[in-house]
Amino acid sequence: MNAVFDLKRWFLYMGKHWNENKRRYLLSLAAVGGLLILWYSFLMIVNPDNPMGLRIQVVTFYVGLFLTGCLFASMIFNDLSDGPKAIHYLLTPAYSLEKLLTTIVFGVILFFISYTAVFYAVDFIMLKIGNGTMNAWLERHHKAPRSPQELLNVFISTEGSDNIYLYILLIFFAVQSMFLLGSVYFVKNQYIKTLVSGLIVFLFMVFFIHKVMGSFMPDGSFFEPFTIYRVWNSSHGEVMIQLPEWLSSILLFLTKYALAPSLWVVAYFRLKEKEV
Amino acid sequence: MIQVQNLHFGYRRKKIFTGLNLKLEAGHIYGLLGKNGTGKSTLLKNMAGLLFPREGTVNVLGFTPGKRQPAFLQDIFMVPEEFHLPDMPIEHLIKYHAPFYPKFNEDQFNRFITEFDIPRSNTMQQMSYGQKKKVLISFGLACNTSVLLMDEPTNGLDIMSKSQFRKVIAGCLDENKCIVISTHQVKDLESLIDRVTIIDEGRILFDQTVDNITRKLSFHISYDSDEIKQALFREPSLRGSAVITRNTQDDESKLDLELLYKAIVLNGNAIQSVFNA
Repeated sequence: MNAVFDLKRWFLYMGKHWNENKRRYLLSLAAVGGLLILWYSFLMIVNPDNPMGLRIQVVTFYVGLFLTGCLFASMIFNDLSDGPKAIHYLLTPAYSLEKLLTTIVFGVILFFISYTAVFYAVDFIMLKIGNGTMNAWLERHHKAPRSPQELLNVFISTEGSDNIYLYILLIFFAVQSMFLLGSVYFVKNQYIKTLVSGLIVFLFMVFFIHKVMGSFMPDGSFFEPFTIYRVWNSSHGEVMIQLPEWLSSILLFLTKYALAPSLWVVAYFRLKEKEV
Repeated sequence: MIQVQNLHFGYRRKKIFTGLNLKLEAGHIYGLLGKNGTGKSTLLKNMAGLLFPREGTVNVLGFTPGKRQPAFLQDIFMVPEEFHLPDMPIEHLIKYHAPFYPKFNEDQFNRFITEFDIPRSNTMQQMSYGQKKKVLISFGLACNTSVLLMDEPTNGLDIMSKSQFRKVIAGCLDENKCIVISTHQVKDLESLIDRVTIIDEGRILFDQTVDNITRKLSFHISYDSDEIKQALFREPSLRGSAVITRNTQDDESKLDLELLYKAIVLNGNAIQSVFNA
């Protein structure tokens, strides 16, 4: 038996977690599906000539992902704010790491997969209806027929050289992890409190970078985040100061991939010290 | 089995324990008595690892409870006053919860459920508070953990269930188990516990075995005005007075836990002097 993790017990705990929460999870997914149907139906009414444009699908996917993902994450440790449920949770014989990993599997990984599956299921059906609505509208208004809208790939951007969707997804996982941490950190009103705390941290960082760091950096600004700093010099004109390749690679990698896991680590320690 | 040393604990503004010491051994059923808000539940939560001492140590089965290691949690079970049972049929409770407790005995659980007269087909949501509590007690007992902590277990149980509870608990104790029952319904536990620990204002006011108490004290109804006057504690009743006197002649009297509790709280020095002598 490992000192902080036991695979067999973890699977056992996952089974218990699923059995206790499956109804809530399935209902949440049904609600997400219902909301997407309502939203697309609304678009068909107000914008019948092009209700399912590619951009609308992208915005719907990511706005829905952020809203529902963060709301879901902020409720994931709801049990800890309810005395009897918190006792049941904390006294179940499993390590905090096993409990947290279960939460991450269900609240982050399976949520993302399920949300995407529900989105595509709804999108596929609503696209058929939307194209029909669009054709009927064009015919009624004696306009030239248009090629039907296609199903969107929400993970690969066709605009620009960089895949911007990857960055949006990375930001989503970081923000969602912040809400997950807020869920274990705050006892009540986790969503609002996390939102306010997140904004305060963000404003503090902006203040720190612009006012504190700016006071001892040469007159200029970041040309590319983490890599190139642009300095205005009266004798030499514009001067670019570039960080060594290895350092900027590390900084970029950490910002992209380490933010969410580091918030999970904080959540782990918070869970370990939780009292009820 | 359970050792509490110099325990300091308090909530934001209220200090509960300031240097509490307590030692509980296996093979006993401890009755933890005290007024509301004296720290009974807080002490149980410190023992279970739900609260952490601000100072001092709590050691249960060789573990520090606050670390909440599975090896510790699978050998301790707590029946809290306000409890949660996930909404599922009893079969699912056995299937998904019992595997976490290596010494869980399904036959024993089924026997308790039958004794408590619980309808097996119902899910937890379809059961009354008392029925749910009985399921939790049955489950806790069937886990056969070395330590069983119960906070007001008889709250919400009807008269029949209380006597079933006493019967079931008494049948479960062995030399390897330590059962701690916190309650202010002292009558419910009278015939069950074998050690009485009374907490007041965060300190142990009284801690004696039932054998020792009945050997040194006599509980009876008295009509003798001299005896009533000299009693360590007296309480007028409809017929004579209920008194506690020194047991000088090795009388065998039945412990009146409620009377003892009142005596300790209201006239503790007189009672303590008997045990300190």
